[in-house]
Amino acid sequence: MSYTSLSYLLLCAGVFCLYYAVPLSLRRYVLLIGSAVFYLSLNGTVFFLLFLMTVILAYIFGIILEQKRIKFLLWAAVLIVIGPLLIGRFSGYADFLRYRWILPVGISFYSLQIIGYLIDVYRGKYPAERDLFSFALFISWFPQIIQGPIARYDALSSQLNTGHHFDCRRTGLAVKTILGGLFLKMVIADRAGIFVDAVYGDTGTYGGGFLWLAAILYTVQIYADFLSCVTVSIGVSRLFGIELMNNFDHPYTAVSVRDFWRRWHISLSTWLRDYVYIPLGGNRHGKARRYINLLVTFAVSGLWHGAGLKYLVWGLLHGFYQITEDYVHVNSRIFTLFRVMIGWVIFRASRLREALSVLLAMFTRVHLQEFTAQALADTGFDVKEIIVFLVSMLAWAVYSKWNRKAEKLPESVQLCAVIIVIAVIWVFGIYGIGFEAKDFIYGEF
Amino acid sequence: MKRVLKYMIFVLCLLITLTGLNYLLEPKYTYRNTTWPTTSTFNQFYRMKKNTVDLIFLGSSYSVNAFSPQYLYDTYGYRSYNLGSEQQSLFLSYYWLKEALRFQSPEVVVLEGRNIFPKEADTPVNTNEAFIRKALDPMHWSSVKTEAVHELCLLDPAQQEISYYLTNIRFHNRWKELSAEDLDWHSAHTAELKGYYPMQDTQPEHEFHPFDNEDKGMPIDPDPLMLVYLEKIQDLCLEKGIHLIVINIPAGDMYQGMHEMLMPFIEAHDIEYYNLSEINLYESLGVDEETENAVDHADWRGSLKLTDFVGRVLLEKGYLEAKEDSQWEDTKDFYQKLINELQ
Repeated sequence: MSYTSLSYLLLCAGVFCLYYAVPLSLRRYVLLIGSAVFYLSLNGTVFFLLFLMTVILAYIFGIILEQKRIKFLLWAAVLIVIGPLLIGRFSGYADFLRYRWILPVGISFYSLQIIGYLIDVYRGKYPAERDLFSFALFISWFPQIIQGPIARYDALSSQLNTGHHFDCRRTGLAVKTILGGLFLKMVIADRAGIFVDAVYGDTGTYGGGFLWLAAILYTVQIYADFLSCVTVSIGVSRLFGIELMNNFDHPYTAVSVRDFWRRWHISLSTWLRDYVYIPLGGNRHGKARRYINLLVTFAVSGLWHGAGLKYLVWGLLHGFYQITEDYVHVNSRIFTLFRVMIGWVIFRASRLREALSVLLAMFTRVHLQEFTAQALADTGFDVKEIIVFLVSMLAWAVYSKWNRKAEKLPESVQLCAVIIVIAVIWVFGIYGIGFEAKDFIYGEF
Repeated sequence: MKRVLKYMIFVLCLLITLTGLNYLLEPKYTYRNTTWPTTSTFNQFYRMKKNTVDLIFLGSSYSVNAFSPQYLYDTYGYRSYNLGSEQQSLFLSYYWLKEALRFQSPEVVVLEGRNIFPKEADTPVNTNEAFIRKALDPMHWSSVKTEAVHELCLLDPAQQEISYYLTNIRFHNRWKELSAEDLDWHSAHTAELKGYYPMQDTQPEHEFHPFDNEDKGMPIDPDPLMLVYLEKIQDLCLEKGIHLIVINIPAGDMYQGMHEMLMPFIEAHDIEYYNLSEINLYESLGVDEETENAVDHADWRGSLKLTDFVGRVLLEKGYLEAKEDSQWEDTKDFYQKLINELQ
């Protein structure tokens, strides 16, 4: 059940109707049931039981850690929570293993969410949750479990457990937010993915020019894809009066890689900062130690993203970028974006060896003659697709810039705009028979 | 109240927009762009006056090219409509008959029976999705369509039930192919020839010899599912008091070996059956093979012979009465002009 699937939208509609139909005090149970149904349909019974067991253990550990602040207990709890994820990730590195662990969707996100909670309880930031239902709802909140944002207990739990009254204006805003997310995913991200998938499906046959274009389009795709997912999550949560944090702040306008990580996947960056980088010593023990901490933190980030050497190298590359920024001060958006894009090439390739050969070809095998209409059409990204892609990008840019002003337009104008956006997704969205409705990229991590 | 009204208007506008877009995106097979104009055939059928069609033809493209309702009316005065479509499996014929009975009360159904035998043997309903959609997409929403789509998806799990209602799921990528024809409402809804399409200069697709008990050829079993639907068609006809006639157009692949595999079923169910590949029946058509082709996809001259055969049977058996009807009178000139052009 993808966030763009009809079944997901129907689930949201069902939970929405039920939520406002029951008394305030029962509304959180509706959310919990909705989350359980979503997780079950997504991962099946076995993974659901694993998830349930993890939640119960984390709940018990939370209460124990509140009363007995023993570091060993914290480590034990963290290892138990992150165990399945670690085994899954490391089996990806060990080629000699016959079987790879299949991980349930969303495990990367809920594991970090639980660990953050346990550490905060251990640190005495807030008391442990005594209500198992409230705790389970915080961990399993369905609009965000697949791809975040990685929520903090103190920011989300009370919102989930307080029954909210229906608000027509807020619901309208939520629907518009969801539509924005669907537009980003189905019209922009998956359209860019047509070309990217074609080129990365057989990188050896394409020249450097196509590989550059694929790198640029993947840079667009991964942002649009991830942003769309978070936007849908925010929109769906808003239907129930719950505000999730914004996970992005125009990351491609960053003037340095350090700045980029302040704007990209903010919930992960701040999580890594609070629960990895600072506990390692942060920047409190001199330059050399800071660099080591930085590299370790970004190595963890890489490992979190997936199993495979390429993710580790990608993470370390971002750590390395930031170390070099201490010595070479180039405050340039273009240069930052360029470096990020090089990182995405490693990220997108099927393995590290392919990434290196793609990068080599990008700098040594460029022939402008390869850009013929036929060659583009052969990838599925023909002239008509390119036009729709560019116009959609432009429309999104205009909307991003003027959306606050757009909200002040008369309601009838806004409703007309909603019809137009639905019609555009209806016609130009990438979905349906003949297409693999792509799951969100970050859902794989 | 004003707010509720506003949202109701919004929902209405949204539904109209999406329905309009789905109409626009659906492929339209009309006389302008194809030899087997399924879209206009089925759409025109819905425009016929209630209970005015006395004879319905069902079947594959062979049927579309073989039976001319206008010629039948002009010659015999019988009011008929040809609901055949490309590779129409008996599954589709059954549901189109059911759908037709919502609007018409025919006295005779002529079923062209090539698809009783395997045509697309590797597909669950003996025809592939493209042809299924050509037949089912123009069908109006009703309990018949719901049943047809549901049964289809039970038989063929690869099909998506919802895509037959929200056709954008299948066709939304057609935005790249849209042309002025997609806006031509008249062509998509008008079939003056009432489902018939005259072909010119066709040839038999396989070597054809009418069978005469000399060379039986390899026996091939009828498709079991098609027999189930043949039985359903017969049951429906019996229930409604309709005469069912099954006709096999002369075809190279309707030799005696196949014929004999079908006959036990035909005899057991007491179905009125004519295999025009059989030498006596074929010769009774009076086809001049130098200038006419009545085999496989018949040419327009051959189709007159085949339609004439149906007319003679109906006349001899007294199944139908000749009736005057403006719906066929009004298209006489159109048909005559077309025939003159073909000559």
